[in-house]
Amino acid sequence: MSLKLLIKGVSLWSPAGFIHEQDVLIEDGRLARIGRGLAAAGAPVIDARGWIALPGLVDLHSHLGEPGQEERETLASGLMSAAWGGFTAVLAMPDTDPPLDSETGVGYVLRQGALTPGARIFVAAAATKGRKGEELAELARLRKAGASAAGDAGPIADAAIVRRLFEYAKMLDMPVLLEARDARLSSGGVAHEGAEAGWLGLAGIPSSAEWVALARDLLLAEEAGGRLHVQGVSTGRSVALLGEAKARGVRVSAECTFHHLILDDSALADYDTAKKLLPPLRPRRDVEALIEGVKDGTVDCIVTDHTPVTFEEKNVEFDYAPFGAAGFEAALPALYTHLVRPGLLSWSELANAMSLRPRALMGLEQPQFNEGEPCDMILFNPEAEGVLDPAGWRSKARNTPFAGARLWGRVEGTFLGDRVYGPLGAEVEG
Amino acid sequence: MLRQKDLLGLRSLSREEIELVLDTARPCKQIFERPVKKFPTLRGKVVVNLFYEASTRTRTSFELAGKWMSADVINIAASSSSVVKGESLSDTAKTLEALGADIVVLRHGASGAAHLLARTVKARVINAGDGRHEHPTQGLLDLFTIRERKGRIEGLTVAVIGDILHSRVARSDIWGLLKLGARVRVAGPPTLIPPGLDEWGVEVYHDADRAIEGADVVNVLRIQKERQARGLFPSLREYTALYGITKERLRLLPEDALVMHPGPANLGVEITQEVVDDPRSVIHDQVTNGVAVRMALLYLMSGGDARELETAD
Repeated sequence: MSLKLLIKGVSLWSPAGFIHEQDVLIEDGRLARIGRGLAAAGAPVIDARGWIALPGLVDLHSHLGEPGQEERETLASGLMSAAWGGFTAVLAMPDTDPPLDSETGVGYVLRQGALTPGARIFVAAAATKGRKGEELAELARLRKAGASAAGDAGPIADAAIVRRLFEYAKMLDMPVLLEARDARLSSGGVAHEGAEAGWLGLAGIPSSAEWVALARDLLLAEEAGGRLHVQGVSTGRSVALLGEAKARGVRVSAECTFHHLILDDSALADYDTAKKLLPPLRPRRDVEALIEGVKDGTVDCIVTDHTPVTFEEKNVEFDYAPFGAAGFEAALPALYTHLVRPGLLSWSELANAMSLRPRALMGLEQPQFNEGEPCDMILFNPEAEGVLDPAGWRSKARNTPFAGARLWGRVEGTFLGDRVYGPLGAEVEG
Repeated sequence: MLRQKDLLGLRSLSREEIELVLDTARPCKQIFERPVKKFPTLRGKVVVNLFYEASTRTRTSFELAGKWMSADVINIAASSSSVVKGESLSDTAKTLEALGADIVVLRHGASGAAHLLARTVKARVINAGDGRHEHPTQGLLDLFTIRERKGRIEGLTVAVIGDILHSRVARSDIWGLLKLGARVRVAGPPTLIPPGLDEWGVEVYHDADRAIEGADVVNVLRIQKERQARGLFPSLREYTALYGITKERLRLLPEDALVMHPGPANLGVEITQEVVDDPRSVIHDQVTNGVAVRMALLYLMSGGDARELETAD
């Protein structure tokens, strides 16, 4: 579909700062013209005064449910949810059923995802057969089938396997995704081991479960020379370990979820299973250290770790509920409300962590706000205020700690090629 | 009045609310002296004891408390209910509510289960022990017992000995004691002490002798044998040597000290028969007081006024 649309008065983000009061003419999936006082006869006009335009966000950590867990999410609902949340590309995790440890599986998700409206999809293949952590998966074949990275979406207990994984993936220049969590130290735990979980009587996951695994993985990556991307760091000490490793020249990048930048373990007092996350919510001092890590780039990316889970699965005792929260459609308003609006994180720091650096790690193009560039952009309205009701989400899931929270900001439109998603898309595409 | 719909833990009660329950329990206890053990106050109310874990003491105590207050009491042991067919806790609770339950008493193996239930149903929920979180009625009966014997709680030194990490009794006791102004010491091996106790002013010891020396009250917790299998302590005999309360250890206590145990005790492990039989032991009082405290709670949670009970005939 050929769409023509004039956006009036938006502030365009650039690494050098915002360029205010710009008009953008969208035509044939491109930024046809940018400037002031633009007019376009017959094209719908969007009054975007007070809104900002950012490059499309890229999520390096998404669980999309398909194949095998379609009651939680499908590629159709997941990619549409991502687009409505402001993401134009996502990296799908291989913990599907069956796991994505074969060319068939990776090929299916990539092909099906490409045919599906919404965010673009990239796939992380399983690093080991069946995600069992015992034998390497056929990484060269998986790479050829289009996998962008290798990881088990869960810890690999055996250090020897991790070491071989780095060595082998290096040959393929394939990033290795690892969750820094010692399976034994975290075994049975459901919450951060600290005073809060102590009083709540919840079995603890100690911070050392993350430190031990992270230190191991950093040393193994250093020795083997592989590319390590650490998933879901949650403690201040982890930020320090990452900083030291980067200073030594280890090829490592890292991410944390937006939940871990906002919420701390004191939020667990009502035993709301939407807050049962892995890694667990940590104390406030860790949250503060993570924010610092994102600001200075030690923590390269903010991710959603979008983990859709059904109502029935979560509406049980805290101990029995699965971990995880759905995040695509909560992430940007939550981050804006809790970090950007109060001045704890700048828009540039957010854009770096949610668009520029994830794109660089994935080898994707960096969209520019220049005339003639293809659309890969979102419009965010910082003045929209409302109570988050996940019942209105595009995702099939409703599990978010922010349900019922008063949040600022709304993604008005996500422009990807010749499609527009979000409230604006519904308006202009009919 | 109790401000909240439910009793989920002592952490969320005020000092005044705790004292109200203790004050109300006093006239309730007089029922033990009566030839006819019946107050008419809960006539027409339905109390459901929903127990997902085996319990003789607590269930019987709640059952008696309800019956003596003239409520209709229904006992559901989860092993014999639809739970084995895969019905969830919230489903079960909705069913009980549809059957007209006014108060649901829940015992459950998972921490926070009572919170889940309280969110799900309009009936009032009393937590009768959830995982390792809280056991507020045990905490209240322990407070009642101490106050009855010592005349006060404020300023007393209470030592809680044993597996604090897994003990819901310890958590409720600690909250109740702190709120009422006692000094609380705990003692146990480092592997069985949860983090963060000191942040709330609890004194943590690993030497049982130092913890109980000069204490006004010693509360001995049950040690569960399965914790050893998880590597939290090397053997029961080593545990007993370090933390078992024996006649010798009692010498560290004043003559007028109290020895408590929430039961059931592993005799010869965390406590010896001699200690149970010692004049300082109030373990049997605790059982009697449990009924009185639970009567008081059922009464207050049905909208009763403490002064009415005082004059009721």
